[in-house]
Amino acid sequence: MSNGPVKGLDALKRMLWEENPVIGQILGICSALAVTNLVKNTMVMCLGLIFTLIMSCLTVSLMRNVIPRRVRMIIQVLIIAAYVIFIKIVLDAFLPEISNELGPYVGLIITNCIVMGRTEGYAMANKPFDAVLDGLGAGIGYSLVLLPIAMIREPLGLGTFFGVQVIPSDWTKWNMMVIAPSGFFALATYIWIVRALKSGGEKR
Amino acid sequence: MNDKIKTLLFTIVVTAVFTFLVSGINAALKERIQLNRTVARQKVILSLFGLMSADKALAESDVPALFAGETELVKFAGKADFECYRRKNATDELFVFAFSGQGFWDNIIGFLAVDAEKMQIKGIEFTSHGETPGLGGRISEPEFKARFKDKPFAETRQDGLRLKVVAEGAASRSDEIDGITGATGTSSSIEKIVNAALAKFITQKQGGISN
Repeated sequence: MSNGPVKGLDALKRMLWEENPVIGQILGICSALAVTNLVKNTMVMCLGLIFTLIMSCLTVSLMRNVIPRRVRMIIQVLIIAAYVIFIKIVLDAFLPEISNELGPYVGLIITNCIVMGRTEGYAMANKPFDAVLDGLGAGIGYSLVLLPIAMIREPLGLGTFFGVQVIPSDWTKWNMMVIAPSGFFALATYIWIVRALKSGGEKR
Repeated sequence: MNDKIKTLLFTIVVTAVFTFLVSGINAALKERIQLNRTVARQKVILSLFGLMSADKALAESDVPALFAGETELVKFAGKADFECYRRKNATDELFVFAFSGQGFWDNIIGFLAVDAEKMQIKGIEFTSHGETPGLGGRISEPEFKARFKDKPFAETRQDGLRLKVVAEGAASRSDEIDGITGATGTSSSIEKIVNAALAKFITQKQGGISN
């Protein structure tokens, strides 16, 4: 595999910036648009994704030598789905309100390309320790994009931050900011800024 | 051939193991999840009876006991499927009943509290809806729900409605309710749902209560 030699902490670090799954690879966009209108929900979503990534990468990596190549994708999806259903059940049991607000998006972590990408692209060919760090890195990288976007969308759209009123109530709320289209604008602007910073760094 | 059978067996075993784990967790937490759903509904009903509010906060675990102690299901003579509650040993005519109907996007489900003596709405709560956040989604804001308070529904208007949802800020009569600007679809759905629910309640009530 092309990314074979990347080990340990380097596997984690490159996911935060250079190969950030959302900015660099444009993966996980649908959830990035859908859940980023409330900081609290975004946080739960990010933690859910980080958990799924770590556990799936670990499991796939542990099983990598016994998984028949022909069915490896099916097995990976199965493993990912099991962990995601686990999260959904735990949320329903202990955080019913948040689970209700996130609706289908927790379940949709199963189809989140970031998880599939990391298990197929890295965990299948690397030791468990490295695979976990790689998964953790991808999860944090995803959170580093989603949280700032949520931190902009929630105050502008609802005047609140983490559910607490932060902007005086005579402020006219930008309803636009809590519905999906603004997710496109916010995400695109974010990617634009980050890309500009990146390429600026390369030129110098 | 041998390789194919191995692959098949491997897939079956892995599937069985993970299915087993997931069902185990589901079985372990099923009751808790069910309880959460029941408590969430009971909380809404209790708050409509004024037994729960921000300053009368209540621990999650005390909700079912309070609910069982203070409220009872009303049985109507008519055998319609109609979920309606009143206070136990109530002297007033306060009823809380469930309603549902098609919203702009998804079904809107909730509870209405009415005073059947004065024929006035006392409160409304939405337990589930899929309206556009920031537009139709504003129906779940306290400010919108307060617009229903004390609205009379004894009489039918000329247009056949008991309560009419009008443009935001245009309500001038007691049988008119301000809608939401930018959410005309939601506003007219709410009008339909509330009128249908009130009509259903009145029909049931006229049929007589059997408990």
